[in-house]
Amino acid sequence: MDLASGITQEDLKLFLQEADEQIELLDEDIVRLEKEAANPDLMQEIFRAAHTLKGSSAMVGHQRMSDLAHAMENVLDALRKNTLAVSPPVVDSLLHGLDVMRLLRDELVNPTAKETDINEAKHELTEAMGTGKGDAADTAGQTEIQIDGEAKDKVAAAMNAGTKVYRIKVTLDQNTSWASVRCFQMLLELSKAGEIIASRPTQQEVEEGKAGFVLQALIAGGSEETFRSALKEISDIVSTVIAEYKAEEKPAAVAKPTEKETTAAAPRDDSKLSQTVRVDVGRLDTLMEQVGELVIYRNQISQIGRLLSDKYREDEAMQNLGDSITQIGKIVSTLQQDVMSIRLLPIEIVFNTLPRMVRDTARKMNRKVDFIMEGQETEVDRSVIEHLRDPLIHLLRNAVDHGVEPPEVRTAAGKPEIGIVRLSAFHQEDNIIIKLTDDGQGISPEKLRQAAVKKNLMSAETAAKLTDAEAINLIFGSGFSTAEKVTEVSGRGVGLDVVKTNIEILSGSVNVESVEGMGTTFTLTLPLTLAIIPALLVATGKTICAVPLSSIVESYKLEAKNIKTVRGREVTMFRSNVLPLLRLDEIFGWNNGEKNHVSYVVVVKFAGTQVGLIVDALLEQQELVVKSLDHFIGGSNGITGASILGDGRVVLILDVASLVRGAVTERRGAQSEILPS
Amino acid sequence: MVKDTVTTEKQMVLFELGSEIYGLDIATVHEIIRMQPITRVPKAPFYVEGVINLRGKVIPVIDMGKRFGLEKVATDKNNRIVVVNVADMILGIIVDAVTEVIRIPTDAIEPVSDIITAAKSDYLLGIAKIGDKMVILLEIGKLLSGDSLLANLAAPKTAEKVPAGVK
Repeated sequence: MDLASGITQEDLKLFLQEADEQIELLDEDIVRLEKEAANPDLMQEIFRAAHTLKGSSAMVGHQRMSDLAHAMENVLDALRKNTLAVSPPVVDSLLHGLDVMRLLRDELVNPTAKETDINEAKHELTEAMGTGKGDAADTAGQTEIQIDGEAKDKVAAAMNAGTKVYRIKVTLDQNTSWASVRCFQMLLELSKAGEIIASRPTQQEVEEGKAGFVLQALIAGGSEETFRSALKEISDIVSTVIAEYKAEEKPAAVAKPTEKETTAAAPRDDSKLSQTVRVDVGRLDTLMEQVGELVIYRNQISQIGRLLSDKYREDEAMQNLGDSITQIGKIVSTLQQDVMSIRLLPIEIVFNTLPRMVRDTARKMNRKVDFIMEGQETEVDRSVIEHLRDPLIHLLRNAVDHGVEPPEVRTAAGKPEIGIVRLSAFHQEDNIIIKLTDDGQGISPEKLRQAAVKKNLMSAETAAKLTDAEAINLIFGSGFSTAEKVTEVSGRGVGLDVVKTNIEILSGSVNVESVEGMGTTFTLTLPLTLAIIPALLVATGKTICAVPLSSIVESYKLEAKNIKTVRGREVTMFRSNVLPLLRLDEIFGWNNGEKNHVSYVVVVKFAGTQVGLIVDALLEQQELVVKSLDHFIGGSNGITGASILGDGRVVLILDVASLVRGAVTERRGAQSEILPS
Repeated sequence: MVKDTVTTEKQMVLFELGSEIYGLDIATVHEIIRMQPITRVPKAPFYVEGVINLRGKVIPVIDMGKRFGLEKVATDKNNRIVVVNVADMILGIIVDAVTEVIRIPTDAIEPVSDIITAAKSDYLLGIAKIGDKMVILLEIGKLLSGDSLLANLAAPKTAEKVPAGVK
């Protein structure tokens, strides 16, 4: 497509950069709109983004993109002015418009792409304008208190008598199981402060246990201070909005929304943006490398310093040198930490694209889902962060499709119609933990046992011997799906085992806990960075290599007499199970001769299988800075990277995954049971 | 005058392999270092000796002699590793000895006759006669491009991509 005349490549690049930002912002914010319709800042942000897109796309000559932005802007304007209410069809039309916007944007980078037609999207947007004219306060089933006959009289009477009437809205923490109790407490306390003219839910509804998480009330008498102190003692209150009620007031959104969000963080803090700097990733990597080297030589100097100090203990100059070396050592350590922290990114980057996906999946599969995210500010090294996206998408799809039941099923089971899916992230020691919880139907250990037997993965006796926890973990086996039919979204039985494998390749782990009928929790544990890994250095003959600590189960001395041979392969007994053995020197072709002396075995695990690596000596544990070895990684190489020791030697880091896989394929003949790890 | 120099001369690093002398365009040569202990890498192509530590970077090292199917001359203190930059990848080439750096006028370079060379030999820039020596000039990029080595080098790096929108 043709750009406007006078637009250079540079202009185009800038436009694309800005457009991408706006589009991403819109994607996140429009999904939030469904829950936060009363948030004027959010509304403004969205409107501004669409407006900017309209203007800049017109400037570069992309007329269709500008037209579409204009159509979206119209809808957004109506929403902003409260002449249109936020509803699923409206949000759908905006999101579809955004998808088309992306295609239009792509046309600019792909000149041969055929032109996208915007008419369908425009039509949907105009249609959406015609629906649900009402006021914006009518969000997701939450209606304001109706001031009808009797209440109206009371209000009038109170105001005539000079008593002030207040409108109170209290929001409870969605986690609480005591909503009705809290509402009851609130009504009780408030009635001591003034006369409750009307409330939603009503006193009766509260007593019947039908309260939700929001309590609205009209109270005559009292004052803001008395109300607040009345509510002070009650737990689980997230926010309280108190405003004076004025007659003829339109029941629109309360003047000063101070509600704290329990979902994704409130509109971006623009002042923060101005304090960030764009840095080319390459420069960061170079900086990392330099610092890595500094660390290596720091170690060397420390070592030499120690030797010299011992030799020339009396020399004053030597002592000063020793002190300086110690100081330098500390500074270098801090420098390394600081540089590593530059590489950290908030997990928000991955999380923010998820609400849209959850919304779309829920709509498609007819589920009602409340998606809550926590801990978006948790930081992770950039080397790990991109690897999180796919597993999370997989798990979320499962939670919405298989976990949360259809609304009818839920109500029949006495559960609230809207299922809750909660995604949270936090740090724990050297790891980042991501938990995904749903309050859906849970996983049935019995069904999994039966499925395992049916698929010939194990005998009925073995299946019966599995504990419930072990049975539930079967869900990670490949080819495993107890879904009755494959839906478009999930159920092909491929997802979870791929998720587990990919996480384990990153030196992480994934766990599942579930209670049938109540829900399921997946827990992902990942190292904070892949750039530095703790490893055990082992020696075979003259060669030293590194085994990632996260893969090691145990290591111990192995006597030759404990090595048996089964069908030509060496094995040993380890914790009453048969452990296949691999000799590193044989695998890697280092010829080191004699097999008979005492050696050490390092038991490693991957994807549920354990293998023992035979080495000559166990050296030390070290945190190694991983150097990329792109050209040599992958395939059956057995290596995932290299590192440099303090003395300058290069050590290779073993790829435990491929070693174990290799061992398993070799021994397929000898029926090795899958050892739980 | 400067313009003339650029187009009519090539500056080359000459090195010995077996009984032949080869030359590499100096623009591709990063540095020349002494032999150092090489860490072997399992299941690498036969001519890849392993990797070394070059000031904090781990780079692969190949044996040119093996690559050309020559007898590997006994390692002595003249062996050097020529570190080259090929298609943005850095790797080292073990040679018997590095002799000199020389400017060769381009008209002294003769293209190699088709009869002598095998099929995929566009890595041979030509042959130059210097004094009484015949120097075989190599195009290092083409030399390794037919290889799976460079094919792997060209493959996308494992994800350190930063998603769009990150400041």
